[in-house]
Amino acid sequence: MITLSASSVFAYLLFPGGLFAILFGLILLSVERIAVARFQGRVGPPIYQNIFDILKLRIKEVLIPEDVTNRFMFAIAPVFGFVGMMTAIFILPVSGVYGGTGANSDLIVLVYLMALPAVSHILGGSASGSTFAAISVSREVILMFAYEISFIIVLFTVALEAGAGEGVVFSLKGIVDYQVIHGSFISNFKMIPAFLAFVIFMLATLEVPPFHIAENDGDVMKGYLMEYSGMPLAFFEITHALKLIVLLTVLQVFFMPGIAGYNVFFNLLWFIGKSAVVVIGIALIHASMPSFRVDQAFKFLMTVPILLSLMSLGMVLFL
Amino acid sequence: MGEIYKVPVGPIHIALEEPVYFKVNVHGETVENVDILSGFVHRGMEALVLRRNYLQNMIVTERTCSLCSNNHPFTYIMAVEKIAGVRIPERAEYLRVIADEVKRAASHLFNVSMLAHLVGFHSLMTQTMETREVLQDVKESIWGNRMDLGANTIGGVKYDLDKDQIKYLLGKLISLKKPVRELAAIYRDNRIVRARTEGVGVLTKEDALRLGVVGPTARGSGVDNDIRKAYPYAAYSKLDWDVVLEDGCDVRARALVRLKEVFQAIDLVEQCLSKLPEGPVALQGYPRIPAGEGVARTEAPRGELFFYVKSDGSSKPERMKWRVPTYLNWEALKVMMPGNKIADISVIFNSIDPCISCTER
Repeated sequence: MITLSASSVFAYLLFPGGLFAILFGLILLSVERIAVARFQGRVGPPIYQNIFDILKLRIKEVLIPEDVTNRFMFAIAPVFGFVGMMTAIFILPVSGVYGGTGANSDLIVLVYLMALPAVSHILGGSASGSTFAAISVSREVILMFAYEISFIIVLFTVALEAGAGEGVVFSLKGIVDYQVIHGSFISNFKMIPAFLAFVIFMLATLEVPPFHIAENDGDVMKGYLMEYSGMPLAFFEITHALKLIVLLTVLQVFFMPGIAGYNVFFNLLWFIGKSAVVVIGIALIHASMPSFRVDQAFKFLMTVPILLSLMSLGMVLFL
Repeated sequence: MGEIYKVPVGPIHIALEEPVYFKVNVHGETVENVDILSGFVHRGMEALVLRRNYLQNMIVTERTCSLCSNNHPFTYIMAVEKIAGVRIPERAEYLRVIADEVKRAASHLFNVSMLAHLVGFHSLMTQTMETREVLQDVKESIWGNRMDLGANTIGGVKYDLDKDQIKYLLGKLISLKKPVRELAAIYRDNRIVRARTEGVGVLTKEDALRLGVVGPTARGSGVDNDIRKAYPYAAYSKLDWDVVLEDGCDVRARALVRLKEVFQAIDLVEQCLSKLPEGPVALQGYPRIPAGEGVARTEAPRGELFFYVKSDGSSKPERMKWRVPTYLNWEALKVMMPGNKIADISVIFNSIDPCISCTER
């Protein structure tokens, strides 16, 4: 049960959710850009670039095009994803730093919250009345349908494995605690396919190559973001940064929640370090791959990650 | 989504480097048909050249387009030389081929790097551009400019190569072979690049012949169409080479033709340098242009480039007309595009190596 207390308000607004997550997410986005640039032999932007982008957008005029089909939905859409991600970070535990809300079935809530950024893209894009946004929204829906399946299978596999043969653990805190005692799942051979499936899921949700499809510059320009400007656009960017943090935290909760000791400060540094390494790994994949077309990506997402996650599920159930 | 809706690609669109407008009718994600509108960057060059004399026009024609900037004055000069009835020194013929092939290699690398960009492979794009930079350095060192070489003049060429320059040029070109080979392997074998280019924008051999496409677009469909071989000019008939052909008929085949022609260009320059005869590089003084008509054609990086010049004996041409390869190739887009996905529009458009600034002049 979540009660309104000073500490939960602090956790929601400042640390580890809220301000900390936004700044950390924006810096990690810049780190990813820098890493990709270095892999390509470029210099890349400064590390505070994405924060400056947000500050710049704050003073820009908000333009709402005349042929927006639903002005209210167009204006409100960015908020869905933002609130969803803020809440997701609030309920997610950071091992050794923050225990999350400790609610019993928060893993199920997480599934719903994780879908919200895509929902906000779909709402905003379809309300904007632009053809390119419509194409991009249809792509987003297709991809979401494909990648959510493997995510849910991975999630159940993790919950089952954390239950250690005595049922499922739907508490994020429970999953973390199990792994802190019994060793991280990433060192468990049964969970390696699920880990790979989750990485593919991460790439697909973050829309980095090979899944840079729904907002691909080459054909639909910015897709659902095309008509957005000023603060609403900044909200989408912040949501993207928060989504990165949520995905990194979920990855660490599911597979590598190992702690560096009992000092909160060192555990936080350890969390930041692990996140940065994963982001650089993502950047390496980003830099070394072209993008699929939407039909090819759908085919890929419906086969490879689902098979990988089912493999893990089978091993967890029967081995 | 059963309905057909219209997607405007252009006149200003991120995927297009130059302004051209595609009205694409789309059914779901599939292209039904496409209508092409152009004329956004018309500069009136064919009228402009009538107000300049023959020497000034060498400069004007070079500004038609940056990527095939060598071929425009080259072809124009050949047409003028035909009217004047002059034969250029043999050394100049070889030097013309060298300038042309270096430009061709750079242009082809530029096009395949754009292909990498459009399939979302930005690392490959930057790597290809980095490789092309070697050629840009060569151009800057030898001709003084990165794009407009100003290599040709009426009656010969404007530059000469001494021993050091030949050594430098050879060294640079040989150093280019290994990186280009690596790049070609990625374009040929990378699975996602293959998935994005194979079977995309198919132009069958019959359609290619019917529509009269030229250049790598035709050669990618297995049509043996190369002006350098069919109507040899400059020193091409004295060199040992074969027309590059691919029979994939798709975007991939066209990219492979271009990549192979980069190697061919390097090989042709090497041959020219080894066979380079001694002698003057240009005639003494400029010839007088009598009244008459002349046509010339060359193989530009994009295909056949055709120039018609009519002279009335004065210092300025009476009429000049040029037909550029993109004009012939873009009709084929209407055959290539239907049936493909929206994401392929820009990939297919890029595969004909479009040059709007040439086409609209």
